[in-house]
Amino acid sequence: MATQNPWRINRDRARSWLVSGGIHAILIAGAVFMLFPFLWMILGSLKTYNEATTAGFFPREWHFENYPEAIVVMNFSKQCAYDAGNPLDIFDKCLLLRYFANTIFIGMVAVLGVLTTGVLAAYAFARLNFPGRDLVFIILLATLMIPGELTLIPNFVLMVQFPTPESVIATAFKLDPDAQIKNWIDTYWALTIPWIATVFSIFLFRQFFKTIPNELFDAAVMDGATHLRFLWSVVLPLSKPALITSALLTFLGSWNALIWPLLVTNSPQMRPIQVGLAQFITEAGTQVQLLMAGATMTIIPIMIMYLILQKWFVEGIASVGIRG
Amino acid sequence: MKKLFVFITMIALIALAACAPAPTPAPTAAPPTAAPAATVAPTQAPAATQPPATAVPAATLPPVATAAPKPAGPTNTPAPTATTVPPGVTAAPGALRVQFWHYLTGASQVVAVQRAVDKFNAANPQYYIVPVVGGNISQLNQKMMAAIQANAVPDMVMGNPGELGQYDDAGVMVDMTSYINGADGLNAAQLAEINQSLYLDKFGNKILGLSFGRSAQLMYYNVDMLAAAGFTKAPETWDDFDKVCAAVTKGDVACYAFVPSASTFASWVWSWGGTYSSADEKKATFDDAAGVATLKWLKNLADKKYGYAPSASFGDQTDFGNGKVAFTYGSSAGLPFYYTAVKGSAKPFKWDVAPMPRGPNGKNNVDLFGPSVGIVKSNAEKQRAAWLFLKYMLTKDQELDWAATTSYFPAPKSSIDAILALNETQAGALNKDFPNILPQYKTAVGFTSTLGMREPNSAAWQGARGIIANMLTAVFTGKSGADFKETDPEKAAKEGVERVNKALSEYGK
Repeated sequence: MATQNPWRINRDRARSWLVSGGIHAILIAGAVFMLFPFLWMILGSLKTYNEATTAGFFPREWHFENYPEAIVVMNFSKQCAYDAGNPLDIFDKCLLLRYFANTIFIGMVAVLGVLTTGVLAAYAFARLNFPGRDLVFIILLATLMIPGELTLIPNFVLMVQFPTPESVIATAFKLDPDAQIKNWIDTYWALTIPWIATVFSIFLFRQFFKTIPNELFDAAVMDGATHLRFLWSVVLPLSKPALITSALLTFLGSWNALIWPLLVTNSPQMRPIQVGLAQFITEAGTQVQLLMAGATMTIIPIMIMYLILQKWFVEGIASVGIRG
Repeated sequence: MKKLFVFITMIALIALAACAPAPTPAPTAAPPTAAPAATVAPTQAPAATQPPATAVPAATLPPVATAAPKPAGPTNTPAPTATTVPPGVTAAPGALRVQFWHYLTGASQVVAVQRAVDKFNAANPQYYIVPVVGGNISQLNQKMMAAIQANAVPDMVMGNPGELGQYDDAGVMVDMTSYINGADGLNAAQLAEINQSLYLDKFGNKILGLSFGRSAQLMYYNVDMLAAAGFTKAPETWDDFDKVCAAVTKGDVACYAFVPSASTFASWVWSWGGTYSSADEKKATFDDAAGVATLKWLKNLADKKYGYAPSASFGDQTDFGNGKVAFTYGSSAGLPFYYTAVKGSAKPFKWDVAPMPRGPNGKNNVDLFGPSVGIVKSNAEKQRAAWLFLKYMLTKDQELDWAATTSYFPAPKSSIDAILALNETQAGALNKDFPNILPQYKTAVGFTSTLGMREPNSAAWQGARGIIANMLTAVFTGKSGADFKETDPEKAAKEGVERVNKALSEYGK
């Protein structure tokens, strides 16, 4: 029985620790680098105006009162009185709540839409054979090159021209004698429908679906499954990481949207949370410390969501070879 | 768990659907021509002459003896935020809705707009002005351009004069001349009260905009720093300015925080005796002796290390507040931010504002700019309502309220005089934070009314602003780039004029 050289064991162990330590040091440095903007934001939210606009990292004193003050500003100084008799009224009285509710609603519709359209389209591109499939896919991918700004005005024109379904029904069936055809401006239709399909998600899903072995499909077909059954029962359960990645990115994009909601809405009751943050910025200066407080509050839901879903998110990103 | 999630989602959807506001009517297409208001038979007495409804407190000047609330001490935030919004006035049945798009995004500004609108709506139940925040100035411009393409424009829009000109080029703006001179217009005394060259946006023989409050490009200075260096007042000439710079620049204290701005440059050129643009606004003219002298003076500031370029947006305000720079140039709308920056510094100091110093052949001046409001083509009655609202905004009580909240300078002389006569208590009654900046605000209002000038109106000049900022940066930093080649003052002035004139000639093509 060969005896191991203790000196060699120690040397291997030391080397292993060194490599592991080096990797961890790099990872920790990377984590600090990534966390720095968040730390800056949170610390900035606890500073005075002067401190927040100068180079110092830590506040001299901790100004937690910035948070209630930011809420007051975002709510235009209105009181958010709760009326037990009419609980939903709080969404009209309390604009901040309304902004949050709108953002969550718009995000959820966008996520549901993107998942539905993306999965169906991606499945077709990944597993169905039809003439011109790859060409159509390339054309679709090419649209990713078009800057969003270019499509703003054409999309806005469409919103003005589209009639809302409820106004069409009310007019057609004379449900309301005063009913008239309304367009999509200042409605949830304009805030949600244009974002229920994205090329990126189709691409993401297609790449993921292509990794699913054909043998699974053959086995499903032998069991009498149709494409839809295979998609629902086999592909989707196996594609959780990609679905969750797409859902998170869509929700994040929706959460951060500002220009489009400003374009297609006019009443404060229809606007999302980013509009609330814009209230700290004027043409002559920015209330930086309150803006940071507002931003910190608005990212909390996203952070919670990410922490819950991060396992699938990382898996999804890694599995399709997309790097941020 | 899944069922619960679905249930909660459904409840949220239903709640939001229930909370959705009544849909606004689809914007109607603008008719090609605008009927002059004077030809419309007024159905009611002109609104602006009526006092506001008693239910809504008017911003009347309180008597000195009235125990007004004591102005609050310095707060952590620059802009006033604790103002309570008056209850919104609901639209009377059949009231004509008039949309007003503006770019005042600050919470206190939004509140001030709503307050003014509420008062007007209460006094004029036949109309219902609906204010809409369109984002910041560039976002509103984007919204407006999209709306023009879609034929879904509002009835009134706020914009800088150049932007109103841009909208007029698209054929959607109303020439306000007939409204101003019409039956519901301004009488001779009211017109005489307004410096028309500064507060009316004239494009040829058309008036496309009216401003009820302008900002001014002011020279902010640290009074204590100058006093410590032996200077008892703000420099009135550029020679004096350089002497102050030589005295105060030391260590980490600079004389001037350089922020490249076309407005500041225009003011500089005038102060050196130049013209900035031709009388018809079709050509830039700052490559003359005055323009070159301006750029030489700027280069000198950089060479002698009197000036520096702050790295952060609005960094000049903060550096000023922290006593790191003696002079900055900035908008009067920034007065509350300067107040907060100074008050929040480790060593608060005395500060004030002054007009631009002058060169040997020039004059002291102040560049006035800022929001105007124009009427968009719709129909005769809507246009009349829009005009009456604008006229209401010029009334003294409203102007005082507006000035106290936004720091803008009122248009009518009587309002300016009323501002100058305000004491701290009266100012605090208008807005609890207004007394904080009252001394500097009064100083600025005082000299602005006599020294005010303005940049070219025409829309084409909007595109020139970036070129001028690039030119200033190139000269100040001595670095040329793709955006601007020359760094020598004389050659830079020439290149700047060539680039601007090219942009002006290509506008709209």
